[in-house]
Amino acid sequence: MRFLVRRSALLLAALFGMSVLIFLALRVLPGNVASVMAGLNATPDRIARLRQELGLNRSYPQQYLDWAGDIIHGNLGVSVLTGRDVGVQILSRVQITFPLILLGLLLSCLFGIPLGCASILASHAKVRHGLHLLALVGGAIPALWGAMLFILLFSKGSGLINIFPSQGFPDNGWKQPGSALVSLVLPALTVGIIVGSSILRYTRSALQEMLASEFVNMGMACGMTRVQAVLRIGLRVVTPQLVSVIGLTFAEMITGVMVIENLFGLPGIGSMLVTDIGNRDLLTVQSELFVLAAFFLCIGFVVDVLHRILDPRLKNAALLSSAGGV
Amino acid sequence: MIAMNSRRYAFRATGIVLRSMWHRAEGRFSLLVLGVWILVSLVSVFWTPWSLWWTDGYHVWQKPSMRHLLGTDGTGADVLSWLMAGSRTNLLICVLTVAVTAIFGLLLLAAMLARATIFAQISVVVIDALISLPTVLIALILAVPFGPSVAVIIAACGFGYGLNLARIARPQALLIARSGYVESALSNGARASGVFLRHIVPNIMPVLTVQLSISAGTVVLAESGLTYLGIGVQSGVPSWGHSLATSVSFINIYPLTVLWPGLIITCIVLSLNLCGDTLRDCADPLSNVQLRNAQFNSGQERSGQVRSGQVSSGQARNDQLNRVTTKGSGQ
Amino acid sequence: MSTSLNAHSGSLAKALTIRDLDVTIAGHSILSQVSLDIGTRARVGLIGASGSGKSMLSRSILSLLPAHAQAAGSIRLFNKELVGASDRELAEMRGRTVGMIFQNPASTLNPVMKVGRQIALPLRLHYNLPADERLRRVEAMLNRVGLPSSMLDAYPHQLSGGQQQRVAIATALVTSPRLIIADEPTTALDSITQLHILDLLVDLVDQAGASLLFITHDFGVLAHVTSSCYVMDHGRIIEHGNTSNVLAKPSSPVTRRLAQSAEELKFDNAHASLSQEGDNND
Repeated sequence: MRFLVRRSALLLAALFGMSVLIFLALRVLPGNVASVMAGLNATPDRIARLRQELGLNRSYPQQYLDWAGDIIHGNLGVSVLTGRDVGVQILSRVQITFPLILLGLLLSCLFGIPLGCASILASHAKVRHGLHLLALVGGAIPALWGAMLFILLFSKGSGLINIFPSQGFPDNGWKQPGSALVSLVLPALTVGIIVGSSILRYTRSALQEMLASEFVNMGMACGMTRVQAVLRIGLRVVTPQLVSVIGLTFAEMITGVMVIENLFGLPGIGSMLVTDIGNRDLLTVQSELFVLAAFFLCIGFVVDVLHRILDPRLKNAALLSSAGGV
Repeated sequence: MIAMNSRRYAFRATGIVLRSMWHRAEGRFSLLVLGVWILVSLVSVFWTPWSLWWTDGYHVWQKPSMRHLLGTDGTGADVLSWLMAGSRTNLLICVLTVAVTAIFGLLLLAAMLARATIFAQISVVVIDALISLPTVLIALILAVPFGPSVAVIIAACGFGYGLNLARIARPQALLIARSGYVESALSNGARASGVFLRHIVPNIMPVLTVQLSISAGTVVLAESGLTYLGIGVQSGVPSWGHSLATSVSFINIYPLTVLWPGLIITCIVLSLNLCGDTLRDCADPLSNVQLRNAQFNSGQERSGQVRSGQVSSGQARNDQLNRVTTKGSGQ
Repeated sequence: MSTSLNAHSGSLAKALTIRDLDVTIAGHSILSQVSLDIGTRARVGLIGASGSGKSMLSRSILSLLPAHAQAAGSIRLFNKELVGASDRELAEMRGRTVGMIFQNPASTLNPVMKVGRQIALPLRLHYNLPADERLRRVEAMLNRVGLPSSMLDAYPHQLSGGQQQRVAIATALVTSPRLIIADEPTTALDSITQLHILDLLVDLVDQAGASLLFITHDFGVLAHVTSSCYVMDHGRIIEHGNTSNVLAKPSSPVTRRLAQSAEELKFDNAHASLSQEGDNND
């Protein structure tokens, strides 16, 4: 409980820090926000009007407080260029990105964890080596390229095996659940295989260490076969670690997810950010970046809490107890 | 005299480590690939088969031929030349990112081991809070004000991987920092910074090696992803990510052009990862008998290095964990 | 090899009979030509310096060797051949017929498993008992090793080293196996706790009528626990016989050296003075 309170305080502090950082990052621009947004050919008059309109002529602290206050009230602002509410826009994009992330995570765990176990426990050395190689090669493939290979193999129209659409998302979104899901299959599969081979590698190395451990020997001494002992005891002992790693891997893999979204023409968070940055819609970008950062800080929070729950050894340890001086 | 001796030792040790890497299949593969990479990068500075800016509007998307060994791209430029030139950009990014990661990571590590415990605690907590931020987000925050550039990639990745490095190396470093000989060195009046460099850094070498090699691999992947998203290498600068990204839109019509950059990136990343693993094994005096003998003969067995052997044997196992806690490939 | 040839005959009454056991790992010979007998209800010691292969011997009895190890020869447990037995058969035997206690409880007890579940594990795996009956047995076993019932819900890391080893003993004995193998069960403990644990182990083994194979590098401990013993060096049995004889008249230099070091430590004197104030404060 104390851990939860402290970790939440840390999360809030991190959110505050990130918001300041993002705010400042947009203010160190050569020139200023208004002139960038107005474009290269804008007249000074237009820039001045824009400054006025966006409240950019106030002091930085005042601007920051306004922005932060709006965010706390759930108001992410309105895009000056498109006139749309940023919050609504993010919400509609999240409906694509989030299912894609979840589906990819699910597939990668389904792919990585069992094969990771098999790469340690398979009775044929060839199978074990093959899976190890798969993990190494799979982890070295750029997401962009992997996705393209998938398109070449499976996509409707041009692939060798015409099954899944490779472009776009139904216009009316999840109102057509069938075709929406189908359009996510290939992207999710790509994410799944690429992240899955990382997870395969982690599972493999964690279990390899367990294989020779006394925990597993103890399980065997109690009457398990080696396979049973590794799966029932070894896997459980490394679960907290694996959860942390999978969480962080996934956070890191968001680059891949953005690339894949773009490549498959899915209007998700990634393509939204790229478009808005391209349009120099900076105040929108500011809110979007903050939402994204908040999302990942929350992932870190959840992963830490899960780790605590899964590992009884940490339950009584304080958040800061492990810090020590030389 | 001592300096001479230790320099000679360093040469010999490097030779031995390289030779024992060469004797392993995966080590040989990675050394060969990395060697070719460096060679091609150097050559590309002076010579490429075609000029990068030479285009032929009449011969776009050519299949591989004697004239253009890997064909031409959408502007009619020679694919091979762009890939060769790209290798030097990627090498630069790779080397600089590893350097930034090492420096930033070690600074953080030193902060976490600081004697002022409040300071150490704060740095631990800050790292815990920031570790889940993906490099692409950092790159975005940097790319908005400064525009896409090689420097953005290096800064974002160096920052992210440095955090990660510090977090992973910390338990090991803490163990050494609390050991008897570090305490005795400190009580004998050694400066904390000296102790950090002389005792702690050599002892966490195995973790550093593996982590830095993973960082090197990951940044190659990250470069392709970030460049495709428009926040990496500027357009016009040759890089593998650039070659990959420009050929993507035509994948259905000219799949062959896409093949090469992807294949190169995969090979390089694979061999960087393998290189880290074999380097760690071969540079471990406990498992490499020749290296141990060389160390012994040249009287290099200082207290720190004997310990380093002990730590790294436990490390051989611990390393698996480190692999486990490494950030995934940031693409 | 000074004493009695008849130790090798009449294997029908033996709990464990090992003949000419060779174990190699990756081409290195770990054990060679090992023969060893344990009678029913006997407490037999196995002593040797670190690295002499004694732990490997105990592990090869239970087939806990690394996957790439190769064993040849014969290990008969209550007349059942174990070399070449299937994984299933071996698993069936472990925890039911043979209980094992490891050296370092901190690294053997599953850190994410509560003590109660840990002790119940062999019962779960081998006997199909109703849950309340199983709990009753686990609790009784926990009390017999001198721990309160409240510890059923504790995690291993919350216990002291001595308490952890008591849990390990309870786990090994809960199914009343006929042979207990204890691999340096007290090496990781301080000397006072060590004595309590040894006495507890001997009591429980004798009460259950089980045989004990006790592995140690410490002659003092050996004399305290066992009546006969085998001495190992470099993967071979170099001497065996009555423990007090081996201790008093060691025939090989290796044994002599071990015996000497035991003499210097004067374990028995320490034990005499301690056992008077003996209680359970581990």
